[in-house]
This record gives sequence, C-alpha cells and structure tokens, in this order.
Amino acid sequence: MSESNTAPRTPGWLSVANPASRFVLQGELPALAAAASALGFESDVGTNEARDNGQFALLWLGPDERLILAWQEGARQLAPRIANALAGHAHSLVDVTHRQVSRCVRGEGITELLNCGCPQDLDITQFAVDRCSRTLYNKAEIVLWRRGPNEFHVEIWRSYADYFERWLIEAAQDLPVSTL
Amino acid sequence: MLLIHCPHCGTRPELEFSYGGEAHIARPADPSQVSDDDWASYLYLRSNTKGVHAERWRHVRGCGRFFNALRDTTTDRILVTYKAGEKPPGEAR
Repeated sequence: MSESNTAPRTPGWLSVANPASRFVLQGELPALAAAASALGFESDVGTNEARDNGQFALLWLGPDERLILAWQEGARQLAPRIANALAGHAHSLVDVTHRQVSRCVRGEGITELLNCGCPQDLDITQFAVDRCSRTLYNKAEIVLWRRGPNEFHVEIWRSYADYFERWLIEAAQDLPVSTL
Repeated sequence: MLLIHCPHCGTRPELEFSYGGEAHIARPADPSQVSDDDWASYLYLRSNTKGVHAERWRHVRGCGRFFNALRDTTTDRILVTYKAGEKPPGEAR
C-alpha cells in the first residue's frame, strides 16, 4: 500500500466501542426469553429494539435471532452461563467476538452522514433511540443501534471496518459533523 | 428506490432484499418415485407469469427471513407481502 493510501486521521466523532464479547443467539421465543432473563433483562426485546442494562446489551436482529454484547465479561465466562440458562431449549449460541468490531459515531449531523451510505430512513421520528437494525452501509453489512439523538453504535465485520471508516470520513468532507 | 414491506420488520428499502424466484413450488415428497420429466419440470420449469406473480423474497440484509410477495410483473408494483408458509391473501383454499 502506498503512502497516499494510508487512512486519514480519525476524526473526533468516530471512536472505537468494542465490548468484551459478542454472541449471536438463535432459537424459538422461549429460548430467547430464557436468555434475556439470564442476562438480567425483564423480558425479551421487541422487533428492532435494543436494550442495555449496563452489563449487557441485547439487540433484536430477526424474529429468531439476537445479538448479545457483554461490556465487561469475556466469552469464556459468559458462554457457559447462557448455555446453562438455555438447557432444554433448542438453540444455537455462537461466539462472534472476533468476527466484528464496534464503532461509536457521535455528533451533530451524524444522522445525515450515516444516510450517505445507509438506505434506511434514520430520522429520529422513524428510527428512534434504542432502535436497532441490521442493514447496509454502501456494500457492507452493519448492525446499527441508535443510542441517542446524535449517537449510533455500529457493529461491522472486521474486514469491512476500514472501508466503512474511509467512506464516513470521505462523506464528512461534504457534510461536516461537529463533535459533541 | 422500491420500498418493500417485510412481514417481520416493516417497510424497508429494496437494497436490503434479495429475490428468491417463484413461490409455492412444492418439492415432490418422494423424489425417487418421480419420473425424470416430472423432476426436470419441478427443477426448471416456472410459470413466467405476465401479471400478478407469487414470488419469494429474502430480507437478507435485515432480519434474514424468507417471505412471499404478490408482484405485478407488468408494473413492478408489489401488491402484498406475507410470511413464508402462509397462503396468498385473497385465495380461498
């Protein structure tokens, strides 16, 4: 790679937000509810909903699929604990900690910037706080989670992270984002 | 951009979906008893409808589910979408 190809300096509105571990859980509703309660949530999440209790975040990916983010707890401690709670339920629990990376994008105008590559309507009236969705950023698949009116958590597969960041930084030249 | 209504997630942009061919094609229960001609027709022959066509779609960049849609192939308008396994709406069977 030539010198001119190196990534531009990381702007203030973009930061790394990696949890300690990540899991994808698939199963029927009783299994998903059992996992939710094992993680300390009162109930399972609804369609396109994300919840965070400080220790864990639970994100709806599909009717039978959830993404679990553990902020502090590593996969080795967490996996047996969830698997215990799911004993007797048919399910699939996959450790995807190292498959993807997390980015936090935060700033005035960040919605417009994400809309440069994401085809969903991200207006706050359509995509409220704590709504999450698997979607696209240009050609790369992402999981988008709105954490505040001007703040998003983005999960992206490791090998697309550079692509995603460069696109954002390029787009920000036309749509400046002011860091909060 | 076309907007497609996913029965699980709601209305989403076309880019999140992929097309899955004609819907409601049942695989023969016992393939070993089916003649070569019937098997070939199950594998390859489709109705190529002009007008309202039942077809499969997958919300591949969203919830990941397959579902069915009735689309008018002359206008490209998607009339209705419904979950996989359900009968097409309006069909009395």
